[in-house]
Amino acid sequence: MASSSLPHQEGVAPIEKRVLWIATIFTALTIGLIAYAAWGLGVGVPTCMPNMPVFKSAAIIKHGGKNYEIHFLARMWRFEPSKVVVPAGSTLDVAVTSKDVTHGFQILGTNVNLMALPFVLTTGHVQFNQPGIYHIVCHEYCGAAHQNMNAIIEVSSQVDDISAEGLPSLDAGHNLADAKGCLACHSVDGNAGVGPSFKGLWGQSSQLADGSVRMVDAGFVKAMIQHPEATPVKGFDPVMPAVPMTDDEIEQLTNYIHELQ
Amino acid sequence: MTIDARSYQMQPSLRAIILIELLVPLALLVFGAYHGVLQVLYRAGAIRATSFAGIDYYQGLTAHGVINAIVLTTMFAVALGHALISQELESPLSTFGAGLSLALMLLGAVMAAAMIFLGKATVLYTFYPPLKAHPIFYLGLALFIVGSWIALFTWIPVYLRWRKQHPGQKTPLAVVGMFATFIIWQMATLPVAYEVLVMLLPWSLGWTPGVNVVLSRTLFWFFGHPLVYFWLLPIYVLYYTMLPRLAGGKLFSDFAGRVSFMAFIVLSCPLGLHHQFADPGISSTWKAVQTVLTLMVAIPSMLTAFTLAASLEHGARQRGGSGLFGWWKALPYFSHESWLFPYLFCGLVIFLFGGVTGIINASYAMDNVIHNTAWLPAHFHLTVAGPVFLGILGMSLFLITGLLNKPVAALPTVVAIPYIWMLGTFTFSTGLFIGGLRGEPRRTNLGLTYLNPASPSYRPDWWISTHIGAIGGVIMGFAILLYFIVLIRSLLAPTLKNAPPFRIPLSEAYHDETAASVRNFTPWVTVAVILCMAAYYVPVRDIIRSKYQPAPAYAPSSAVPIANVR
Repeated sequence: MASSSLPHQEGVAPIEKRVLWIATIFTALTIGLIAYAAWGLGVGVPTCMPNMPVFKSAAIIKHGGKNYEIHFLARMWRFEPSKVVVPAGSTLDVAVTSKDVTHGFQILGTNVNLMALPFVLTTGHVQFNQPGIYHIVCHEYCGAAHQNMNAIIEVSSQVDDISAEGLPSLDAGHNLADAKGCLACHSVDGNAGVGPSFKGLWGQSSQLADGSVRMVDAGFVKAMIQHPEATPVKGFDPVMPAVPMTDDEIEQLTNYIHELQ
Repeated sequence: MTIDARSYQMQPSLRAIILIELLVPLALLVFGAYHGVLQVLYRAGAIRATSFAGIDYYQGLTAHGVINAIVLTTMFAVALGHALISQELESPLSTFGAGLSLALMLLGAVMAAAMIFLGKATVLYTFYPPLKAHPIFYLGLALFIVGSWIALFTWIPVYLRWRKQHPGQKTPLAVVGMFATFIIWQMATLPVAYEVLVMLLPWSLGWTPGVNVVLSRTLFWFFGHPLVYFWLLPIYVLYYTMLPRLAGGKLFSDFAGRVSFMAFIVLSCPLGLHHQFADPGISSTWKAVQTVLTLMVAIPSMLTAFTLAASLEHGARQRGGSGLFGWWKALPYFSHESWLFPYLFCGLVIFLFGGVTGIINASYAMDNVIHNTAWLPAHFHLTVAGPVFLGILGMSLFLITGLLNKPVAALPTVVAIPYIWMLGTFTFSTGLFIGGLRGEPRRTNLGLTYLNPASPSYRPDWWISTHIGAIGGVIMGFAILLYFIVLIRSLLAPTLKNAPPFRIPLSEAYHDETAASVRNFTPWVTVAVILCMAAYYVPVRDIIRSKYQPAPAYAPSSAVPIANVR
């Protein structure tokens, strides 16, 4: 190649210094515009909220007028609530968390774009003036049925108040507990009866009669249903009978106790 | 003719190690590329199933990421570093060190790949907990990373000896570039090694009940963005040290190259929070601080863009080009003699768009519009599947044929491949950019629901974008198919007789400045470490103080935590 016969130049070329200046000014301008958008126009990103408690189940809270607060629970593989209808002109404060793995939460066509992490709370704020369907999409891979995970916010000029579908129903679990006779000894209001109340039981450390300690989890609930005589709990008479239940029923009851925490 | 007059010849053991490091990931790429094509078909609804030919969509997506973005890129960087450092410092490398590095990387890659193919690690290449993979997957990743560290450790004594023997001389630019690459890699991989070995591995074995998800994501992204620079910098080395000579001229400024590499060392790590703009648990103030640090990278990037354009102009004018813009016509776009030129040149053109969209992504609240949408893969395919991938394809073919003394087969096809790839990449990214702005999520088997008219989730407004993406992806697949044909034909060709000893032809500098301020790594590495501490101390302290409830593990297939299943 001919390159070796070409001349050398000593020192930094003046044009290079000019390029460095242009690059610096361009970068400074970009940063200035970003700062203006963030603090001048108030378009921010999610931040750290150490003082807000993380909710356990989805809810809708009315703040008067058309101001609503919606607690979205992301879980494999649906959002609770799955559909919300709000009147046009509503202002929504959404709080999002996950019950299990990492999920995404974007309300398409708005600036609300959040990550839902387990046991961590995040929030967004949006005003809906235009009637229409706004899709919520889970945009982070959350397991096998990730592509099925979405929800809808319908903004309507036909309604006066908020309504929602897909909020958790404790009815089925409650009916099962009633049908199997559990509620005879276990209340759901937090007061101990013959046995401990289901409310607040999940995740508690339970001291057994032999002095050992077990956490109330799915395994413990199953063991107590099938072989209560094997694990008498300190402070309660060992009167609980084994309850014949299918695996599905045990799971349903487990979920019910979990939801009541 | 000082460069070519040197007499160093590569030791046979190193030659074998480099060839394995280039050929094994290219063999794995057959699957990585195959599932790239499959993904665009799933996403466009051409495949409406959870799996195709025995491979689940998300399993294939995991393999696509791990093979293409981690195994291929890292092993190429190590191989290129071995070749350039031994050649430029005229020294053999420790066969034991380079061999151990290769063995660990191969073992780690096989362990991770086996778990992916067995369906035990369908967690994507970001492996966010609390989705859990098999412990062997995490262990494989850790071994792979440690193997790449050992490569750097084999270069350090050679470099220190060269410095002692050549006082007052500038370290060759290619060596500076490769060291910058692996210094960044070393800094970036320490936190992710902590995440994998201390947090995820014991948790995946069931030894710990839960994992701090916010902390693990933050450690991952401390690594995740410098990972991008680790992909890019070996290609920057090719751009600074080979492209000007391939164009027929000299590097416009040696100083600019050194400044860029040192700037990357300083600015590569303290900016990972720009991947977590949408995350809870991290103060928006510190996200803003890291936004500024992220955008500072634009300065060395624009300096690089100028220097490379000036070098191309210099080369073109030596080739008879003239006029204010007319010289563009004189570059060797389809030259068979300089067949590597279009691989680097097309990558550079693609990278212009990758860089500009990167500035958009890093622009703080702008992330609200595009976070985790198809816009993101559209952007990063213009970096990692643009300059990086084309550089790897071209340089691998160059090194493999050079080291084996083989002719490059089918030169007209060889020079056409980068243009076909560029067409495919631009088409693919156009589709995904449009789709992303319409809310199309990334990492999602769209064909099952959103692109399936029978599903209640059907979104006809995503039809056009996913189909443009699919056309682009198929063109990219076609370019890779051509590449494999050329590679195999070159490997099967008879060895050249009387070939001169193989050397990587490197450029000389047009402006060969003294560059006293960028001759020593130590001050730049020191500044980098201080900046990392400053940018991450408060966010990490806040995360640890918040005492988030540890998250139990989940398998991707079940909504019941794994501990409860047992």
